[in-house]
Amino acid sequence: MLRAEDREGWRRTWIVALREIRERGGSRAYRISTVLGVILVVAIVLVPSLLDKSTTYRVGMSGAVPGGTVTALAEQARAVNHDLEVTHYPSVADGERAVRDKKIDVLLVDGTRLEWRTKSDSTLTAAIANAVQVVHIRDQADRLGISSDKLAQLLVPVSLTSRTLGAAHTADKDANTVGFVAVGLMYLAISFYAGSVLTGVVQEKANRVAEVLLARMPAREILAGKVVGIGVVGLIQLAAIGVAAVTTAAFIGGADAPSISGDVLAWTCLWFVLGYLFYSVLYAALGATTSRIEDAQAAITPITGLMLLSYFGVIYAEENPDAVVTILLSYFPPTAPVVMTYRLAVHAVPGWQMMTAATCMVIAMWGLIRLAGRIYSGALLRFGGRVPLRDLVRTRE
Amino acid sequence: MLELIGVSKRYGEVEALAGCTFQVRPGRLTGFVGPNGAGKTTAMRAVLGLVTPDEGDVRWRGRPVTPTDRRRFGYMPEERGLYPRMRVLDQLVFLGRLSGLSAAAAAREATRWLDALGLADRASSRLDDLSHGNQQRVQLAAALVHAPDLLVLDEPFSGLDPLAMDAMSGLLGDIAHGGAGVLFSSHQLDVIEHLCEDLVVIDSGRVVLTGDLDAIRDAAPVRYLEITVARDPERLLHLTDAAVVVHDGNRVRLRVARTVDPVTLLAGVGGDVVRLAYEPPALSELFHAAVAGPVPTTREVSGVAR
Repeated sequence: MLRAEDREGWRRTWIVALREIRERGGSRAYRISTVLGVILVVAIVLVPSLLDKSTTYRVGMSGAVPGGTVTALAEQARAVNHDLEVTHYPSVADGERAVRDKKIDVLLVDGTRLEWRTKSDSTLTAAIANAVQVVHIRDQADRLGISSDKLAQLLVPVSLTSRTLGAAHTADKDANTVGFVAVGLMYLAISFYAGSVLTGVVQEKANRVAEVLLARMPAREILAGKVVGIGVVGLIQLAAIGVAAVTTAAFIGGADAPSISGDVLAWTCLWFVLGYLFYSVLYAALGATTSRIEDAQAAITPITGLMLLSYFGVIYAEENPDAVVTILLSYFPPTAPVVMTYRLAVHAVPGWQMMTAATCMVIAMWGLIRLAGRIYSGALLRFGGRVPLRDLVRTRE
Repeated sequence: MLELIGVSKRYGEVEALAGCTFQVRPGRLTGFVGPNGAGKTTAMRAVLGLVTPDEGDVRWRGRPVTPTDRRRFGYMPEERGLYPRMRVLDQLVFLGRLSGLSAAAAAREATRWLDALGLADRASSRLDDLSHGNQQRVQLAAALVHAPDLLVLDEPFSGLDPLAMDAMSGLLGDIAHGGAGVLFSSHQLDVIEHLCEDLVVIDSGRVVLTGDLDAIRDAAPVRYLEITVARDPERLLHLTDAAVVVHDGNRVRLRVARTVDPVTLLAGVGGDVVRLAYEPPALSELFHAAVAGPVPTTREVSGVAR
């Protein structure tokens, strides 16, 4: 059971959060940025698939073309999702002119020689080589008296299975992309939403609302209310954008989208929330030490440093996913949100490691909130230049 | 009753409060005066818990003040502070709820105060669309919305036009007479003299004069005797036991000891008295005496109005 005064404290925290949600959520800037975000993400998902139309191989042929070559080539093209356009030229010279005029991609002479304009295309080369090979095998089989049934048996494809060995050395390319996208989103969320906590705090101090609020409630409640309120507003916006992205991807049948398992997604969401909370509390505490928005940039230098460290952590983790330093960086609270998000996306992180890191984070935040509350209440009523941090840590609450 | 007992606060080398002791009684208006930098704002912040004293106690109803007590205080800081882009009514409801009112009660009280302050039609305006005077009223409403037991106002009269000052005076009087203690600071000594029952004078972090304003004036060791005669003011300039403070045409202002009987003093002066006043020192004289030692030397300059 909470004591009456604690209950009142939570109530006040929630009232502050509610104000942030109403005032920010109802603002035109918020609605516009949400709509723009949705449009942008839909475009990002949609545009590549629109551009990714199957292209057409334009192949010219001259001289003696073995029978069945065109059919075989058409099969090869279909296999790589390309259309095929074959043009026959009466002479090699005509064909070569067509290559130079870019009317065709390549000219096949006598079924044995390929002529390109500037450089060769390896997939097209492979397709033509395969087609020519198939035709050649059929001809030879015919000549040797092998029936088409037997030929089919000879050529029955052996299916190759493949598996990845996980975190052996370097992450596979797709997972790495997902990791970097997740890290990028984390940076965006931290600098955008935790950044709004900073401007909110500095504005409240600059227009002196802080004093009116502090006369009514302890600093830690104001701090918590702001962080929660802005967090909820940010989460709603991110969720709207996320749902738009997933829906669009599902709609166009985005087979390219790398699949992410449910628990990885859940852990990633948790790290987003933890990362936001940690950095927004830090932003709020440092923001409170300045009186003007112009000074805020200088005040948050320590945060910029931590973010850079996180980024280097990710770069290091890409090359050394299992190194001790990587694991330590994914436990160290200031770098954990970013580094852990990357590790999660790239390969399996053992559950116990995740729990340990999350526990470290929660403990660090408990301390940080107490410290930030102290800095916040000490600094909010001191105007003028920057308030030295050392003074504030020592102030009694 | 609110009591400050030996409250001290130091910022680095600066001693903002040095054993500050005074009280604010319920149902009375207490004026808080002192030169700039004397410690008024720091003392008020200490009452509200915005500043933690290095030494001394702030007591409310005989016990050290608690956060719960403070939630029943109303405060208007010198630097006005509200959200510029938030609607007036929303703002007051928000602050009312933070002070413990339910949403419904906060809405009711906020509306009532906006009506009382003549801002009913601006309830849904954004704060920074209001005039300076109206913003000031909203700030006052913010301090009053939860019907506080103690009201602390830092310079509530600064920047108000004469009409708004009258309205503010009337309102503060009503609140005090409704039973709340009211402490407010001002540099306008005439306003304090006119309005307040109690007085606190602070200088360099110390209270140099405090108590019931009438009693303080009565206890002053001097009295002023102001006489305007029809002719021959010179006969007033050489009375025994009386120092001439002002001699302006036919008007003479004299300072005498409290023990001097004015009737005896004026016995030999003769007729033609047009106006006569005998009074204790004005607040401004007490203030100067308290803050800067004795009243400046007697000015015997003709033509200088007091």
